[in-house]
Amino acid sequence: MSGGTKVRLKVGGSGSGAAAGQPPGGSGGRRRKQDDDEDYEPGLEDDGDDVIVISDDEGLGGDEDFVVDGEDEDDEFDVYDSEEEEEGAGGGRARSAPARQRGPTRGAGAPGSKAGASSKPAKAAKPASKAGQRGGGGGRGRGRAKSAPALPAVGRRRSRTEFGEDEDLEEEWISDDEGEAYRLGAGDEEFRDFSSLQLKPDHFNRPLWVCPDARVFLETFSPVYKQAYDFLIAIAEPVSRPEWIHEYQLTPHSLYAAVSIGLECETILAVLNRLSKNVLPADIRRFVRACTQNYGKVKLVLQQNRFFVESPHPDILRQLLRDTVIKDAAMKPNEGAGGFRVEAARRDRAAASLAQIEEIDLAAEDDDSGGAGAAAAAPTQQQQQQQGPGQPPAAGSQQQQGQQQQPAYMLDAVEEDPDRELHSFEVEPAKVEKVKERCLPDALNYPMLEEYDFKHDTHNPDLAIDLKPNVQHRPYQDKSLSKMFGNGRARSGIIVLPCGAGKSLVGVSAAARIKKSCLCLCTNGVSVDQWKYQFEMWTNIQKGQVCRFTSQTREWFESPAGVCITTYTMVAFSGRRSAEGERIMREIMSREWGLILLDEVHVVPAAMFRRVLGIVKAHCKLGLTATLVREDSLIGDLNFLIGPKLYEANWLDLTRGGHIANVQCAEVWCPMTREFAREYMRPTASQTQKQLLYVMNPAKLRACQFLVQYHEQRGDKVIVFSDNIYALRHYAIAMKKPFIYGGTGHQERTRILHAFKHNPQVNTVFLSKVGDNSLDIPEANVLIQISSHAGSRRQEAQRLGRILRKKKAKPGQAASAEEYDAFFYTLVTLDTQEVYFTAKRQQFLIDQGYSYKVIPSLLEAAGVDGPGGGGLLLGTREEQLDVLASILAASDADLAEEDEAEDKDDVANLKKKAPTKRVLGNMAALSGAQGISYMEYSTQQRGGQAGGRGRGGSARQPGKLAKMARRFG
Amino acid sequence: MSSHQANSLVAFVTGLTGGQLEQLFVQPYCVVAILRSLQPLSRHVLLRFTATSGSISAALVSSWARAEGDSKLGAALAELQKLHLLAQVAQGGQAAWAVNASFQAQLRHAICSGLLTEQDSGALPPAAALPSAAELNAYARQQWDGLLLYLVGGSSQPPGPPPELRGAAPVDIPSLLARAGLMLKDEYTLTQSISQSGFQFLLADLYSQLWSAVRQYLADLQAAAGEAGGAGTAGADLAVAVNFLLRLGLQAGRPMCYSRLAESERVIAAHMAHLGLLMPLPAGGEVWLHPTRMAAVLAGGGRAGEAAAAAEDGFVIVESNFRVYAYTTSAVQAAILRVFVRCDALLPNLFVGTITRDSAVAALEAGITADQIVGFLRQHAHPRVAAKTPIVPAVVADQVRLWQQELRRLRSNAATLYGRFEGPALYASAAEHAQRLGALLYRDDERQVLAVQSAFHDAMRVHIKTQKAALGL
Repeated sequence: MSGGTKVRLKVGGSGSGAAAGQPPGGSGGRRRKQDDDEDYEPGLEDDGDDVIVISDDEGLGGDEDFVVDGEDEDDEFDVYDSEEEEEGAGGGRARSAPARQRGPTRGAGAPGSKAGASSKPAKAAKPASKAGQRGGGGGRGRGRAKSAPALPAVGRRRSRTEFGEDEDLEEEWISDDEGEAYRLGAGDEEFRDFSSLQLKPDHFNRPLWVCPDARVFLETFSPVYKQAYDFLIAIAEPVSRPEWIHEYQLTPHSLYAAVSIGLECETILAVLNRLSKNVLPADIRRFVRACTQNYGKVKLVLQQNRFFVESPHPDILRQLLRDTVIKDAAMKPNEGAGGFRVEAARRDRAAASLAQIEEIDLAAEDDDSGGAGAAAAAPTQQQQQQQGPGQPPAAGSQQQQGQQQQPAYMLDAVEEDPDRELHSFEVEPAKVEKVKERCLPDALNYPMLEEYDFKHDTHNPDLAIDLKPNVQHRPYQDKSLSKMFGNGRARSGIIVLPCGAGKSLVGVSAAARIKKSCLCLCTNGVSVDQWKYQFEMWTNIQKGQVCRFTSQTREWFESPAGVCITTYTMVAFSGRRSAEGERIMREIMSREWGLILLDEVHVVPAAMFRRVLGIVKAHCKLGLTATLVREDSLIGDLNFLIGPKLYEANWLDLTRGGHIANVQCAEVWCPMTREFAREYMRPTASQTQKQLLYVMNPAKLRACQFLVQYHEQRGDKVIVFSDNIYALRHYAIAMKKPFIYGGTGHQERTRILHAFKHNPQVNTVFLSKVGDNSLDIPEANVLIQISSHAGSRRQEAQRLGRILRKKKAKPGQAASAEEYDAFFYTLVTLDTQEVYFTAKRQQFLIDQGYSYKVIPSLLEAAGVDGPGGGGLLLGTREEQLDVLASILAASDADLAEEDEAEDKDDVANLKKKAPTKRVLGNMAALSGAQGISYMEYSTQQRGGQAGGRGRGGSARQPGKLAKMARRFG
Repeated sequence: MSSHQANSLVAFVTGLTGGQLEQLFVQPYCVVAILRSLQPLSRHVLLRFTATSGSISAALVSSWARAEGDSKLGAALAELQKLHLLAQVAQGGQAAWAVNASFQAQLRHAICSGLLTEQDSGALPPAAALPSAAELNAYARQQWDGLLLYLVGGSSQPPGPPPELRGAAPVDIPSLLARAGLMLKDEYTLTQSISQSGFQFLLADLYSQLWSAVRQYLADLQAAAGEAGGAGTAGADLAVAVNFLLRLGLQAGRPMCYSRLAESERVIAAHMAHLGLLMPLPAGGEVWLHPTRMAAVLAGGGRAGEAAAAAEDGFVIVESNFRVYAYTTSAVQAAILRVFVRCDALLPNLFVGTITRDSAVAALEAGITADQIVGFLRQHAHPRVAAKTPIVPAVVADQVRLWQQELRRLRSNAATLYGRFEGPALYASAAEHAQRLGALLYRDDERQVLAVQSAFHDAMRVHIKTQKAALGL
């Protein structure tokens, strides 16, 4: 599907080519802005072209394998999709003509655009011709352009980053020429000329530039960087965060998240304007207003076991009540102002502290004491405000005391805001879901934020759970929790922290704060055990109150409230269960959960989320993840299924703060040997063979062996990752190291991991992609990647996460913040597709400020090159040729053996229809007895299996075809 | 450092003949400027000669340095000898070093009585008419940046001459750049575009830029004089011209009255005003020419000018994700960056771009080296970044160098393909012969095909012919 994306990109370019007569700098932007305008027209009826649809469009780029599950969900996506296409095909061309001349911002674009003039025509011509070749691209492209409006240049930014989207391996392979286009596409980046923006006279005191395309640039060396960062991360998506200047993007989703933590439209604009070097473009004001006017206005609050629809704006409530569904669901209104229940609004702490930026003295510039003074002044002011009228002084002082002892998120006493009132009406519990649905963007478009007033929930039994007194939160953990509990209630949402930064403590703390039954969903059985361990480690919870529910362990807590840890697949499983499983499922479904913890939300298919969240009733949902990279349908869905992103940490800041390991990333170049290269270039070589040839490149194996030896000698713990099972097995057996892949049983996994953790003789373990997520291997500090899933940025980040956990300094060694304490090597075979994929994969981490050091000739540098050098394997040409021969002799079915997880709980399994599938013939391979005599047997078996896969594929085919037909028909 | 630069006063002086040098060494400003451009050690040695009778025995000179410093002293003496400032002579049967007499005399005079002559100490314009440093800089930048922008193709017209000197002939900037090899004329379209050395010129520092332009300017001047008169006068004219140019930078910002200049000086002055070294300002019915920072850079010997330029011009931040942020409003700086950076957005005072493989390779293919790219980024580093090491992230610098290496991975050789040999014996013999010549590029024994460097075609043909005869084919 990435192909579609690329076409879009190019057509975007062709648009500017068509408009070549216009002043060069702004041509691309102008077209899009017109579209923006149309969508910003306040009276304009929403034609389904709103945020959700956009994200679905984005998402279509996505996920063959993730939407296949439920047929109905799949359809739903298609509906969006086809709508999109029609719009595109129909309205497209007419729209691209500059129908309206647009405002002053671009009218005066002359001065700086001069320089652009020289290079522009050539660039514009190229994409135009490309789009021409691609026939049919036009309609698709317009679909894109049409869908872009609500987020001015998100499309532009994304279209670039989106290439990194991982997804279907097959498609990666097929779209080889697309890869070519991508490389050429580097020059297609639309150039935007904003030099006519007006700078404020004191711009050097302010840290931001805000562009009309909703990009924001932040200087990190500004004295008010910290405040500006906290604010920006609340309202915008980070695009890249290197050392000096960060780039952010305001998107509808990010603004939705901002609103949901209590920031209001006018506050956002005021603070943005205060921090901005340039006068805030009118487009941005309009954009922010358009994105925030509906979001966050209505909340669904569970209070004393009654559901209330709550809003500070009674007009909106009246508007909602005009809808028949909602009217039907609403309980008889009480007496009072306009028939609504009225109470004083509460002040939100998190939002209030962000809004404080308005008071920071920007002029106290280049003077550190000045900046600090201003920052120090802000809280006192805030406290004074909080102790306004109606607030008993005793409570105030009590609260101050509390502040000294407890982190902000633990505070219960929330001040009332005297200036605002909250209006609310009650709805029938049975009809809550319907009301929620009516409020979604495709209906009334007042998406409801869910808050859980857990303090006043007397219906559900309390859980006796407290954090142990010695538990210390790190500052960012506190910050993320305070966003969640900003107003004394619990908000649903997602917290993004890098792996190893202590996500589970955040989850456990949230559970301990709410003190109700908690359902914790993980991706596989191993992490279920780990979560249980985390709960027992951080809290005083009783043994019988934590239970696990997996395919192996079926436990249930006896107490009225408890913590249940299970996997997504266990809950979503729709087939027959054992009697015990059935009983526990009924328990899970019948219960009202106080909190549902969703681990690794980024890997779980949207359809599965829907199913799980449809089955389980929870008052508050907290998603945890390290990477929200895949900005496909999932993100859009997550926003409404779980909630907005509450907090996202900056990797580089955490590294500098010493919270996560300081990783040296390196890309090791391995030249292909002559014989391998010849086979690789052979036109008849199949894709799988080619892949195996570059993975099994002898230079790579030697480099890998050298690195393993080197780091084992240093006393490091090494993980080697290979997605390719054939290579994994070959490498591990050749080097005599243990390995784990999908076919490895739960017990053996546990045994190997235990040995790796505790046995000083076992310092290296080989993992397939089952190790990408959740396997907690805190000891490892070196990671070597020999093969990977095409261009997946997410996988790269996840794997890095395996070694991010901060290690304890070795005795006798002073821990220095500057020193690298972990190493991440990617071995790349030169002159193959791998080079291209590697570049793609690195993009996310590079945007987080990581840098990859290229090691062009590792073995030469180490002096172990040449035949037999350094005692490495495959030193002679004969040995290399043997490997080559075995690769060529192996059948495709052999090579393509997929990493089928034995672990039934693994989410990765879900995409295949039959989770019980087993890989046969493994014992032969494990025992090293996979010889000729077994060959026929195993091939046959695999052949059958491959047939199974084939059926699976064809079962999938109709949907795909139908989709295509709809797209082009 | 300056003496290693391809374009500098020292390089210019090195290229002159002995006769031209003699004429240069009687010009006081030339003498002072040359002294300033020398390496510190060379300068020190030369100054020791100033107050002597003119020659010092070689033994005494070599005793100035300790044994471990001998090579450095030797290098300094060699530099001075190359510039004809010192010469080896025999003095009473002993080897000795002698300083150039006229150079010594001028230098003594300059040291004792300063550089100002009666002519210089003339009237000055009213104080109110003096331009501020900012105005001077702005003018210099406007003219010189205009030239650079024209060079890089950002504007179709070179900067015009200052209106105050309308009567004087302006510099023909397009042909100056073309003759200096910075631009190439397209035979068909008759338009000029930037050349390989033009790109290198863009990335060079101001001092080198000025000297490569001024060298060409002086060469043109000399050629014109050579046509008009004899070779002897040409040498004298050149010396006077150089002296005048250097005077602009060495007279400490004193303005000159245009009408009071000599005829030949007036022409040069008008040209320099056009290039931005002088800023013309009318006051009291006269046009006064005020030297700008560029004039000081020209005569400053490189070092002083560079430091001043770096402090003022630092504007580039390079991130580890290959992003380039440049605090600039100048179209020229943006255009120069575009040579190797893909521009993503222009903000009112910020250039946002990315170094991509495409953009870097395009620049490398245009003849710019990786070191020049990295050097440019380093030299113009924003003050915030400049304190950090490395200024340009190592990944970026490495990657640009790797891209450069990558371009060199494939080598192309002109080759001749030999096939359809009459028999394996002939093929074997031909292949062997090519191997012996060291000209064999490729052989395929199965298909009996050879590729041999084209330069050896004749030798191969002869060999194959004789072999054919010998084998009786």
